[in-house]
Amino acid sequence: MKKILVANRGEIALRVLKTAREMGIKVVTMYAEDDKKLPHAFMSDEAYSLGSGTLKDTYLNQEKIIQIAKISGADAIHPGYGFLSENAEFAERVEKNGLIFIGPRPDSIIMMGDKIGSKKALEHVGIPMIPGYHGDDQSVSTLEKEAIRIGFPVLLKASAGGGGKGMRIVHQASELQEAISGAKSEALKAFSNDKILIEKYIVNPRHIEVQLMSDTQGGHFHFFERECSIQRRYQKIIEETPAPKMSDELRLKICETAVKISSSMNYRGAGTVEFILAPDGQFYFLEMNTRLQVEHPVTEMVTGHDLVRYQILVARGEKLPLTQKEIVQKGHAIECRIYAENPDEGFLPTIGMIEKIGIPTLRDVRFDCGFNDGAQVGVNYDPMLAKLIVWGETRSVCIDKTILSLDEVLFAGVKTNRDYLKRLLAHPKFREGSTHTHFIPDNAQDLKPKSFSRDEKAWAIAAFLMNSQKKLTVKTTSSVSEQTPWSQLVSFRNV
Amino acid sequence: MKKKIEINKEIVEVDVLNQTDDSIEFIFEGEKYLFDLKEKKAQTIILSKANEQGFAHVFESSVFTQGREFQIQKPEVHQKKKNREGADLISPMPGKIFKILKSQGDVKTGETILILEAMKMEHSIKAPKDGRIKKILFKEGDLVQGGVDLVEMEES
Repeated sequence: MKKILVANRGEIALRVLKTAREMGIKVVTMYAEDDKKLPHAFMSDEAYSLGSGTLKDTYLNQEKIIQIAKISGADAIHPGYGFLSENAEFAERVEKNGLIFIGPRPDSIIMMGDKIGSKKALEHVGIPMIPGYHGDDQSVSTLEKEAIRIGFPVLLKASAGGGGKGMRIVHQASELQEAISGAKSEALKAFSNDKILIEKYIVNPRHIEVQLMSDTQGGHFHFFERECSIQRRYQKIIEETPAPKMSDELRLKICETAVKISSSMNYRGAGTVEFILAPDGQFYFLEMNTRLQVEHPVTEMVTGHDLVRYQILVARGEKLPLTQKEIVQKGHAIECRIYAENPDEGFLPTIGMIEKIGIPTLRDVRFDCGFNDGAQVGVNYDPMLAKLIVWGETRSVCIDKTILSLDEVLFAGVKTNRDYLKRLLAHPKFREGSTHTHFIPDNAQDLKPKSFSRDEKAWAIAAFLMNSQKKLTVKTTSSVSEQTPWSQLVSFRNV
Repeated sequence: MKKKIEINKEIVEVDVLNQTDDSIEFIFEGEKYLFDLKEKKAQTIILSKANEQGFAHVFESSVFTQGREFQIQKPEVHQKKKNREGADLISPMPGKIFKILKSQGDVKTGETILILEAMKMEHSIKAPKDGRIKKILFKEGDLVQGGVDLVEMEES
C-alpha cells in the first residue's frame, strides 16, 4: 500500500492523513467545491475536486470516488466515519475495482446494518439483549404475562412507529391494563395499527461502548470501553475513558462480551460495540458500528495505540503486532465535540466566519480540527467543528485540563457550544461521575448560562477600551508608533 | 469621560478617569478599576489588575477573557444592525421552507409564522412583535439563502 485515498472531509480526513504520512504512505484527498479552502483540500499530496451539488454528487458519489482512486493511482480507500463508511455496496465496489477497502468485509457491514437481524443472530451466541416481547399475540392477557416476565418498569411502544406516540412507562402490574389499552388506541390513531411491543425500561441508562480491532489472522482485540452518555439530540458531545464508577470486573465482562461478537463473526478491522448499561450492572447490546468512531482518540490517548495505523496494517493483511495483555489503560481521557450551535436555543446550528480558532497549549492535549482561520461555517455539512481531546493522570485532573483547554480554542466569530461544554464538565454530578443518557435534560436548569460578575465585565470593558484606543494611536501617530515595542511586535506577528 | 458600552446586549455606563497607551482607570457599577496593558499582539492583549494577570482576545464585536465570551460594542454600532434585522424577518441560515403556518393578517409576538429546515433540523421563524403580515415571500418547499427576507411585516 503506497497511496491512500481518503474518501471523507474535515478533521477525519486530516486524522487519517497524519498516520498515513507517518507510515510513509502518500495521501490523496477529495473535496467538494464549497470545501476547497479547507485544510483537507490542500494538506494532502494530491487532491481532486468532486465538483459541486448535493452530497450524492460529491462525498457520496461512489463512481466519482473510485474514478479518483484510479486516476491518482491510489491502491486503497479509507472511508473515515459517516458518508460511505458503512455502505456495503461501496465497500464491495471498491474491492471489485481491485482496490483495498480500509474497513470491514462488506458482509459484516450488511449484517450489522440490519438492526433486527443482527440482534437475533447475536442472541444465539449469548450476547445479552434488552428483555422484551415483540410477538403477534396481542391479547391483553399475553401482554400482561409478558410484562410481568420482563419485570417492571416496562416500556410499551407502538410497533409501527416512533416519536413517542403510544409510549407508556409502566411501573407496576396494577397500571398495566389501562396502559395497554391507552397505548393501543394511541398507536391505532397514529399508525392505523394497534400492535404494541414491550421492552424493559431502564432508568438512568448509560451508553458504554467497546473499541474493537481484528486482523485477518484470527486476532480479535479490544481496546477497552468508552463512556458516551452525555448526549443531546441523540448525539454524543462528551466521551471519556475509562468509564467512571465502573468496577474492573464489569469492565472486563463488557469488553470480553464485545470480543465475543467480533470473533463470532470473524470481523476485520476497527469496530465498536455499543451497550446500554443499567444502574444494576446489567448491560445489553444496542448495535455495532462497523467503522472508526468519531470518539476513537480518547482510546488512543489512554492506551497509547494508533487505531488508524492498525486499520492500515489489517487492510494490508498483516497480523497485528499485539497481545491483549499489552493493551492497558493509563490515566484518563476526555473528548469534547465542539459544534457550531447554540445550546441555549435548542442546540440549533449556527453559521458564520471563523475569525480565529486558537491552539491548546497544555501537555497531552490533542486537537482534531478540520477548519482554519477565515473558514466559513455553512449548513451543508455536519456542524461539528473540532474535537478537543485531553489526557490527565486522573479523571479529576483531566476535567480541569479540559476546561482550561476549552478556553484556548475560541472559534471567535461563530457561536459554539464551548461555554456549554465547560458548564457540563464543571457540573458536580458530572465531576462525581454520575453520567447517564438523560443527563442533559435532567440537569437543564443547572446548565443554563451563568451570569457575568462585575469583575468579569470590568476585564472585558478594559480590553475593549484598550483595544479601540490602540487602533487610534497607530493610525494617527504612525511615525511615533514605529518606535514603540508594539510596532516591532507587528512585524513579529508576520513571521 | 463617561462612555456608554453595550455588553451582552445591555447598555452600561463606564466613567473613564484616565486612559493612556499603557493603562486605563475607570469606574464601573460604583467600583474603581485600574488595568495595565502589559503586551499586545494581533487580537490578543495581556492586562493586569494589580498583580493579577489575564489574557483577552478582542474581535470585532466580542471579547474573550476570564474564561468567558462577551458580546461587546459601542451602542450605536449595534443599533444599525438591529434596525436592519427588525424591519422584516430574515432567514437565520440557508435552508428549505418546511411549513408555512400563517398567512396574511395579524400575528402576536412569539407566534410561529413559518418553519425553516436546515440540516434535518427545524427552526421556527417567530413574530418579533405584534403586527400584521403583509406578505410571505416564499412557499413551502422553496430553498432560501441565509440572511434573506422571508416575511414582510408591519407593526400594529
